[in-house]
Amino acid sequence: MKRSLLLVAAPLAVALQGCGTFYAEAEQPRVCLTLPPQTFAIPGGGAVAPPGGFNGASSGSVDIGLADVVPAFLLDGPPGNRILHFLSFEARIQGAGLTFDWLNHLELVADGQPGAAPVQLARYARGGAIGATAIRLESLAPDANLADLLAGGGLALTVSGDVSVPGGQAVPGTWTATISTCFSAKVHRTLQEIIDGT
Amino acid sequence: MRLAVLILIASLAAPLPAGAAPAEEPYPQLGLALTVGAPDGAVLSFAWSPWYWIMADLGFAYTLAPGLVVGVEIRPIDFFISPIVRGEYGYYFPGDTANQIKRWAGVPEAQWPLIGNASYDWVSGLVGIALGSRRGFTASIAGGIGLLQLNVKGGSGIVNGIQVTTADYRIQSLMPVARISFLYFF
Repeated sequence: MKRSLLLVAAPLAVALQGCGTFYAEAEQPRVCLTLPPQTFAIPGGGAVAPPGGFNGASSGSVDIGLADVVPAFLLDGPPGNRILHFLSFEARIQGAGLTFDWLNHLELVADGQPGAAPVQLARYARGGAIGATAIRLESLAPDANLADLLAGGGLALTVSGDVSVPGGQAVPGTWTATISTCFSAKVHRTLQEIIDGT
Repeated sequence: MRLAVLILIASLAAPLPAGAAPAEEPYPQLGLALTVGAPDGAVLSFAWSPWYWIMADLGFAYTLAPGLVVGVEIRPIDFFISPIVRGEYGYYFPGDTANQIKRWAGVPEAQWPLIGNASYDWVSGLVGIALGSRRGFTASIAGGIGLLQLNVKGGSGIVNGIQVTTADYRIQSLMPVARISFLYFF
């Protein structure tokens, strides 16, 4: 008899807790975006490196309009109830015969909206590798929640790197790459929040 | 003589020994039920009840897509009105579910290729009240909680000039459930 009462009472108790208990949750474990080719400048480049070699830098911003390309139900939600994780980044250089041999380091940072602390997402160090035409980086901060960095549904990434070319070799003035990046997204909303439209 | 008549009347009026009681007609074991509810939709099910207090059923359902619903129901009291406790599981095959998700969620048409086929299933626990005879027609109403899971395939497409590929989505909801059922045992 006590068991029967428990069977009846437990669902009723939860139901009576009401709209705060009920929820809907949507998760996209991996959404990957391949952007049109992006071009980055190398200040001081576009000439032959002097005998002592060329050392410079290259940086640029990549704006990813996530809300324009990903179903909104994965991104909309009250603060604290939405999660956006960066998973990976890939840059594939464009142009026959071109490599990343001139690139020593590359860093990827999520800037987000003004005032938000930037998050370092990935870092590349060439080391002794030569002939690479693509750089693939996994997240340095897989647990960093980027949801609050979204500004108008977009996420601004800064790509910056150190360039080093031995003397006598051509220093590119620009480099163009196809950028692919992957994220995961999750939103949790209680029934009360859905009813309230928050 | 009078004494003999009195003894005869008394013996007729006295309760019969237990072993001699007339056999009660057994409860019918098979039934047919029509149910409407959420998230069940409309369900036509076949019921089997080996004892009056328990019933298992298997039904063919339709909401956004065809599906199957199985349930177990306990009706502890054999009376015109009785509480019921029920557990059920439902599975709905891919049908029009994905299109409905796209419309309900306001997904722009350009993003539709990112959402593939969708099926869904759920488990629920309900309590309610049944009215009627276990030997014939019963109507019941029940409510409770359910855990519904949408199994949505991913997809790929070019949206605003960006190639987008999505993995399978995981969507679930802990939600209130309710059902009204009409059951006839034969």
